[in-house]
Amino acid sequence: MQQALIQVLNGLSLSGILILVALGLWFIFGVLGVINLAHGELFMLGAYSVVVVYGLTGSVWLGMILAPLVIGALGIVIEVSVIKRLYERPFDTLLATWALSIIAREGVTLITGGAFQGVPAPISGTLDLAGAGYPLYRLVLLGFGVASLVAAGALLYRTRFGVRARAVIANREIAGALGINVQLTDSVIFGLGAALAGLAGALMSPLVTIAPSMGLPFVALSFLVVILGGLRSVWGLALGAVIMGGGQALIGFFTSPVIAQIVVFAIAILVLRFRPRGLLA
Amino acid sequence: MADSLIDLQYEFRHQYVSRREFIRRATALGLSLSAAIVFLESCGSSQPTTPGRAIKMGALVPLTGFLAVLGPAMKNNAQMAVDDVNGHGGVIGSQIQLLFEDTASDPNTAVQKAKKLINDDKVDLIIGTLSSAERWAVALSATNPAKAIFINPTYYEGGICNRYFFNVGAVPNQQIEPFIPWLMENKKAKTFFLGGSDYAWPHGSFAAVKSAVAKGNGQIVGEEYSPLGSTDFSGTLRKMQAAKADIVYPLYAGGDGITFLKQFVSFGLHKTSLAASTALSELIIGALPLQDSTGWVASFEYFMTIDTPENKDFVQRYQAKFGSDAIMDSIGEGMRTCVELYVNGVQKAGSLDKEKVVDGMKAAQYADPKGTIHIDGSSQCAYLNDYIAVVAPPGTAPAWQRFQIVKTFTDVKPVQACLARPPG
Repeated sequence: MQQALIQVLNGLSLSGILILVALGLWFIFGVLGVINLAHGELFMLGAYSVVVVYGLTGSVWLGMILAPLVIGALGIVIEVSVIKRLYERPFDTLLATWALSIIAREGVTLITGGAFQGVPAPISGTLDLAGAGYPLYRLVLLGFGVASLVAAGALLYRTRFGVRARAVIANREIAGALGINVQLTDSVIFGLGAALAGLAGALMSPLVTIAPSMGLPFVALSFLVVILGGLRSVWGLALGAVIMGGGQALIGFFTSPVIAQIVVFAIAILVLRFRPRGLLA
Repeated sequence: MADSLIDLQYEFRHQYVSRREFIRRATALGLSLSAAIVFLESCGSSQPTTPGRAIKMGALVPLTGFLAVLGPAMKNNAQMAVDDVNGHGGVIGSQIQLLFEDTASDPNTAVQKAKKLINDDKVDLIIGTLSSAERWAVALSATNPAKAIFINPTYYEGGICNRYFFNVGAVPNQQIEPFIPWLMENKKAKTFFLGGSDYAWPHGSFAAVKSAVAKGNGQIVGEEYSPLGSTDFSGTLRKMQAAKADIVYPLYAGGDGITFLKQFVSFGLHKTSLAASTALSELIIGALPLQDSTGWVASFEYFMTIDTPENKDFVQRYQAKFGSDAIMDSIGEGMRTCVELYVNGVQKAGSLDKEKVVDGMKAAQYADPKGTIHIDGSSQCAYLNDYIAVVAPPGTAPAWQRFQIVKTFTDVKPVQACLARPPG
């Protein structure tokens, strides 16, 4: 019983991490229809922002607050300068965002020399659960994941901005004709997606090795989560994250991490085969 | 259609070329032909065999990718060793030219770069590769077929046997076999949990660990492999928590190792299990918060804290050259051993002839910061010391100085079984 509880928690905390990372992608891919291959690098830059702030001030929390602001601003710059010109050209956005990702990775390598960095967790210590310790920080992450999900849902369905954004998704031309500033909405959404990626990177920074290539495994996983859940609603995203994260934890516990990864990806392929628009389409 | 063809034929047959035009065209043709011949001659020529020509030494190092944390120490040491040799007039009058190539921590890239070094740059030898995946790929696909000299600096699971392959890094019987009994006796360890990345090096090394543990009547309570590039180890850590092993032995490559240890600490496991490994080097410990690694145990053929005048002098020179916070691990220092091995082989052979140099290297004996190096003729691996070090509590000294060497096994003879393919 205790084992089961711990495993559920493991699965949930993994899902929480996935939600954080995939939410930003969902905004950009799901809402704007842009395949942003530089999403992993926005994540990475969020983590490096924490490293820089921590180095300057000694506070990890401050870094985590500033990272989404900085990366969000960067996202708006990218959208205005690059993405805006390429909305009707999906292959070109693929190429352009891939180029941005290479530039970001190599740029960071040039500046930092490629050495690995680390930051300490702002909350250390474990929660005693069923006789074993569970890292408090992971539970915090899970909380953040759920909170961001709820906030995203609220933004889209409870605010005027959300109405405008949904109008733009539904029909860009008519939305523009109705007086909605489509250009501005696009920029804000992209910036929001980037800010979420930066936040995810910042929150993950104490848990993983901070290196220029750290974003790559996350971008693949997040695309899968978004596609699995379907592009319709954020709850699809949550479902996708729970399946991927929970599946990985559960299968990994009974077999091994290698088999878990294979099985989880196989499940994703099967789902896409039978429900190509995602589970909650 | 037919009309235009006839027209064309008429045109060609009746083309009129003046004498001036003819001379102009013939000269142009003649000049371009001779230029082409000269150009091809210089491109395709093999190395001139006059003595005193530069030695070309290719170096395969991971400067990007998940192994990048270990790359700069390799690059710096190779550079410093070559600069030392060239500063003393080179070897048999020849200067060494180093050509670095980045493997990007990827075996495919490593093979491509190796082939480029061998075929395009025509290097005399290749030193380097870090991961066993890179090493096996380069040996089997590039250097063995080309009969190119390949010297490996990195401790690994052993098994590559070829006349042109030399290994100056520790093999399991040198690094693991003395380590396990020491752990069982001095740390009262009976149960071991093994966790590693899923490829050749952890599989091969854990095979050696398991047999050593069995010999000491210990018990393996868990063995789990994770894919390379994993970012979350919570499943494995959960199993480690449940198993309550005396020793947790992590063998995760490069950045994965740092990620694992961070999460190991976050789960509080460092309070109940001791982390001991043949992968906990200066470069890994340096990336973790200071107090967490206290008490951890490592076993390598080189530490920066080796207490001999030669090593102290070497470390001082290294930091004077690359910065007072420049650190290296045994792999980095091993690159120096590779350079010196080749230099010694050339000196013994008295020439740059490949076969003579290989024979010279087999008989090499020379000084190195980690001790005197001599090669075992049958395995073409080096006799090495094994140092066991414990990580002392943090103080004001830099992280690398916390490795306190508590036991030294001197001049251990390398023993390896030849394998046709990598293990695992």
